[in-house]
Amino acid sequence: MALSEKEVIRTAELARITISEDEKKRFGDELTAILDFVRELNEVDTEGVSPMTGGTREENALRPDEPLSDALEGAGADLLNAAPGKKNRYISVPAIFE
Amino acid sequence: MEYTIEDARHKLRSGELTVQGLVADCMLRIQEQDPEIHAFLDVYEDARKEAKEKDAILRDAPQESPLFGIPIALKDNILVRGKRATAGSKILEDYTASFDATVVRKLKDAGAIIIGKTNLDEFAMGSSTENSAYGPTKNPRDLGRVPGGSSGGSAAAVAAGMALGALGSDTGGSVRQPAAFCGVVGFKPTYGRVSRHGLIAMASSLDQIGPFAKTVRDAEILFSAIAGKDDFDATSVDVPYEPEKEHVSIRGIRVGVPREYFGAGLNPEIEKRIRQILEKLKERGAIVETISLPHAPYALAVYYIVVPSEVSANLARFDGIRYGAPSDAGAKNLFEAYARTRERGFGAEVKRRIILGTYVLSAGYYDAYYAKAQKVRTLVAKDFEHAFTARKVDVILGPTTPTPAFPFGEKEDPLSMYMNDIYTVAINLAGLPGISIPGGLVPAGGGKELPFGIQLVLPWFQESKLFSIAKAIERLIGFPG
Repeated sequence: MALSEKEVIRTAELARITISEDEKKRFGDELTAILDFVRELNEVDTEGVSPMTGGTREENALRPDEPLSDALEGAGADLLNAAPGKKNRYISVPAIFE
Repeated sequence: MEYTIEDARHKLRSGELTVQGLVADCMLRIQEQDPEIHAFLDVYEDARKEAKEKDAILRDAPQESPLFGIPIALKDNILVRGKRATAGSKILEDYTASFDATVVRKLKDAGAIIIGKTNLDEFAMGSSTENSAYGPTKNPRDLGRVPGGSSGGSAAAVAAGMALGALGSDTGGSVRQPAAFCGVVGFKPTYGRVSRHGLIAMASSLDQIGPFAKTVRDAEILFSAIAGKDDFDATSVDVPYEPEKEHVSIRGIRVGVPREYFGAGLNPEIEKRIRQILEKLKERGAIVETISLPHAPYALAVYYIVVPSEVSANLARFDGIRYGAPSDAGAKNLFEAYARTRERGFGAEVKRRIILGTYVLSAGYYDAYYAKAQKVRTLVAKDFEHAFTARKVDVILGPTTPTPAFPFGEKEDPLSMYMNDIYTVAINLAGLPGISIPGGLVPAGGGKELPFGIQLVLPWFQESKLFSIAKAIERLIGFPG
């Protein structure tokens, strides 16, 4: 199945990535080749097989939601400093509503 | 002189060697060789000061930890507090980690010295380090060839003696494949055995942190230091590691050789060498049997659905707002700020995987691709279970990669690059432990010889037996030059 240029643009939009004219064509071709390759999975009979959804059989591992030491969790100031846009003690972001 | 961790440990104890000397030795090699090899993205000069402190501690009392004073390198997708972590991507060029990864905390507690961060394919996506935004790493065995990937920098650092050991991450072969290409040992633990807290996630149902070392014993030392349950990684499992007390004898070991791992595409010289090693094993009393992993040929296709899907979710956090590259000041709206940051920050392979993952997870395609892949994944895992239980094999043995290290630029289209991982991805899909040990050298044209790897795979959580068998086979092969 070939991925059309329109589908590439739409999917890149969903993925929040701007792509160039060049990439539209290139990714279309490359992704089509990969999708063709993975289509061989249709040869496998999976009737009645349950999906493997993770790497272990562990379920719902929880831990108490309590503050721990800065060494373990990182200091609040460091976390804030990692953000490129800051105003006072807050992370600044573009407006969500227009 | 190049040391193993085990050698260095004894020489530090006897006073024949100082930590400062050991660190200086690694630093010198880095100065001399790394401008060419480019294994490191950052080298920590403060390691010298740390070495001095460690020597003072050693003068007061001998230290039990086998890693005390040992210089270790880390793949640059593992966080060290106060240090840069780029994951090989432009988008994290200026990102400084605010906490230590659990493995880093454990290494520091064990007295190891972190000497720097190593190069990788961007966000660990690749098999050659050619996808690093900071330029490729060269294979110390042949500078015209790739070191493998994605943990190519860590493999090259250990192979060139610039660190005594290193950590990498292995999602589909990213520790084992570069280890095979560079002629060192690379180990991927059972899924859940090592905490990934502080590892920049690629595909969370597959990622594991694993060690590189010169010998199996050294890899075991590193593994036992970093293994264990961690509340910060909900997938980590509470199975304490106990090394085997005695050497395992090769006599009576049941070795399963998967038919599917010796098909078309395998370099004939590698096949010949592995067949010779299997003969040697038989001579020593091992029971060598051909087995079948009937779904193995589908593992790569499963992998290239599962990985992009998880990648598209995990990399959503790199939006230019929380970390690293500045958000676009000129953006008209939030969408544009995200989309432009990601356009500039991500390289081609990362974009390709995010877009592919987004596509296969999107409405109307989910069942056809993702759900189908997860079902075949179950069958891939069951093949291994069958080999270990019904066929009662102790270990599955085969090549780590179909070929030795390839020249730069040889695998331009994504699919031919993916084929490198054909023998390694199934082990991640099934969550099993797998190790690559140097199998010797094979002719690579022009009178050159290059290393290749032998992969050993054992049942879940049987690391102690894995190391024992790997050591026995390592002794059998002899240490290849």
